Amino acid sequence: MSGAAGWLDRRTGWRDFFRRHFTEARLPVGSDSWLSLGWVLVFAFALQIATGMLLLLYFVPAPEQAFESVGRIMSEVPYGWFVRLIHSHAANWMVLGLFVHLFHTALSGSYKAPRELTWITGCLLLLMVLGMALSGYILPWSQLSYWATTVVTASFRYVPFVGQELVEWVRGGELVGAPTFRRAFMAHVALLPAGLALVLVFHLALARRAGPAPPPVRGRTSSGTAPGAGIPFHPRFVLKHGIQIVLFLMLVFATVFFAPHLFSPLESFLAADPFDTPPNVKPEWYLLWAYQLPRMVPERLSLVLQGVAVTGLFALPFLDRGPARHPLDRPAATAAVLLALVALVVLTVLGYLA
Amino acid sequence: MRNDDDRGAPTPVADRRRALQLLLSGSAVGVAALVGWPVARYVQPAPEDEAASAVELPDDEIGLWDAKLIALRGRPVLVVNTGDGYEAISAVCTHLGCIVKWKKGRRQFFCPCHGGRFDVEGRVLGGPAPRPLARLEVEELPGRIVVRLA
Repeated sequence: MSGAAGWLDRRTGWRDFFRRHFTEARLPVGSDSWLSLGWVLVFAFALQIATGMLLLLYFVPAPEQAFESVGRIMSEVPYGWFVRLIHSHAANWMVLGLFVHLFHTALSGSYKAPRELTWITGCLLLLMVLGMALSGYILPWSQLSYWATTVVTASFRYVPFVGQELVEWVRGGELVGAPTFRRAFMAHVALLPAGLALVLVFHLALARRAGPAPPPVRGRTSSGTAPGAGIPFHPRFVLKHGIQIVLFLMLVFATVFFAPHLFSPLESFLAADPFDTPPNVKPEWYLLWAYQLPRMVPERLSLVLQGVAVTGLFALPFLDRGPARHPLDRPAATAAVLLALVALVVLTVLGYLA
Repeated sequence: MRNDDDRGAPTPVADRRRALQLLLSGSAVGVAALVGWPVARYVQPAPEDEAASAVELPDDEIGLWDAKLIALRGRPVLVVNTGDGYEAISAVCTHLGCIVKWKKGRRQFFCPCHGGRFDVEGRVLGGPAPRPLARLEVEELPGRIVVRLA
């Protein structure tokens, strides 16, 4: 080994790393395209970081100027509309992808030993991505940002004992205002991306250590691949993941070019007015279920139900501990996951129609 | 080298090690508290500016059963002329914080978010609001009214 690559290898051992994790790594026989979704999500996160950094060149992080600066990005900065729409559309598709990844993992029983921590860090990533989406939502300081943030943060007051204090702490004051904006900005560009990157590295390291779960087979309880067995990760799965990433980009570009306002209701084109609530304020689609639930059951009960759902999500590997992984071999867990999925979809649709 | 009879009995070395561990753990907790307390205080909402806790209006500015939206220390307040006097009501709905609107025809406040309804004194008439709207102090002086934070 000579030259720059050899020099670097002697100091970092990158060739060995590449060999162990790519060319000599093997995935279970029968691994399908679902496996690529995780890598698509990693790519989507990287895309968010890249486009977010570009937006920071022109976005003015002050409530009095934020709306105007977003307008400038959209209409005056060369390709500003393109960067911003990719940022917002890819974020929405990323959230959808995360939900799909989560439900696929739950239905295929891939959270079972020894992958419990991979599941828990994945759930944590979902919450952090929702936090990223919410904190990013307020930054354009439009009527939609302002009032959706007001409604979402106000719902924290139902948290027992510390509800009102929590609302004021999140807002940085009694009402949504400049302190809320600054907190959201800090969370969106510093705290959450750093935290997310850290948890993501841990999640990937855990996933790599345990190896991907083989597809579940009826009546069998296999949870791993024997050393040396399976299909080489490179080039087979590198190519597969690459194709899925291209498909993801096609989806993002399709909505950016052909449905640019898909995620932008009318109120997102009006500057925030703290003295005028537009009629029928709703949060983004991924929180419509939480918006709709308190409209159907008493608010405290809805909070309890949400608490139970989130706790159940994290605790799933410890509630369903049997060795069987195929959905039909563990009907109770499968029914619970399907029930959660149906409830999520129905509440989202009802919230949309409300 | 220890014999079997000594096994389990704490040795001076083990004692010292345990004491050092306790000392280190205690120091770590102390350092965490020293760093954590200022950080926790720093991220607390800053105290609000106490200035401008009253707003003055000419008494002929609001017609009978009309309402005027004013800002009192950055908070929206609706002042209604009831004929017998004035009511100043916080426009922030007690449900999820949307801004209520005054419906002159019905003489009610109405929340556009989830349909909360309140009478002219802020009492809940319907909808999901858990508490009445906050009432503010109104002082009627010759030719003007003064609205104050209660």
